[in-house]
Amino acid sequence: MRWGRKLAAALCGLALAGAAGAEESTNGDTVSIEVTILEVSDQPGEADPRCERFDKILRGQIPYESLAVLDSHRREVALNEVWTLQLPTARTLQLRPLEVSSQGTLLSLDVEESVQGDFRVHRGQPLVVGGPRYGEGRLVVVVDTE
Amino acid sequence: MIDRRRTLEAYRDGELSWLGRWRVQRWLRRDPAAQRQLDALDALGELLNDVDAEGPAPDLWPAIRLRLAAADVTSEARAPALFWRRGAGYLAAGAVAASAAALALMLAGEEPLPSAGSPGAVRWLDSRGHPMMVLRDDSAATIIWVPEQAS
Repeated sequence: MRWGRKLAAALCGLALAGAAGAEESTNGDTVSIEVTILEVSDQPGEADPRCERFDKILRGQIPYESLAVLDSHRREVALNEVWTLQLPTARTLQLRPLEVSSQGTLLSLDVEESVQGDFRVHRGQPLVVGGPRYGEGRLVVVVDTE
Repeated sequence: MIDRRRTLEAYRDGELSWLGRWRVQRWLRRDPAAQRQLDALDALGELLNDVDAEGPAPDLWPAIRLRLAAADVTSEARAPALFWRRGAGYLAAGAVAASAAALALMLAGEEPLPSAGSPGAVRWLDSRGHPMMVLRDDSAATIIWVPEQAS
């Protein structure tokens, strides 16, 4: 009986240690997130080589004549950490990686007073949110994870 | 002019008596303008029939289907985390996932819904009442368009 109790206690200890270790490794994970802020406009503009990739994504999806990169940010964000950015429209963008797995990164996005959602994104699979008027055109936010 | 049109519409819709139809037919034989007006009404009627036959706008159903799938997959994706963090919830998550799947099957008919393994990224989405379009959601990119006005 004593051995049974000791064995049970040892197993419980191992299980708790394993769970704590798993939790610790999860908290230690970070996700590299890049946020690119673009302006699409009906007015013709100079070709920006930085926009080539975004042009391939957006062309045919929304009408525009020119595309310009306004700003770009990159950060390592820990799981469940909230990264808050100020958008040119004076609203905030909040990003929070929730989970990383072989199926990609589960990312929570919240644009102040606008769209919010959870997205399972992969490397090279950008998340694009756009629409609000800005300047002569409209603002587009591209979120990439690695 | 309005009376002419109403008479022709009534004739086209079969609302006139035998005598009324005879009078309109005689009028049509004598008045080419009236015949042209009747032809125009016929063309308009056919156009409206075609529009009605097309049913609801084609982009509505994918958006609805996307939301159903998102509800399903969100419960699936979050259930394990909730279990480990809060020590409860597999049964609740399973019930939610089963309910969402049942609802999705009821509404989807024979067309299969995107599953958790679908290449799209959207798992849950809310635009806080603003008009919103998911222009694209595939393995290459996800594009969400919220054409709101800047404040």
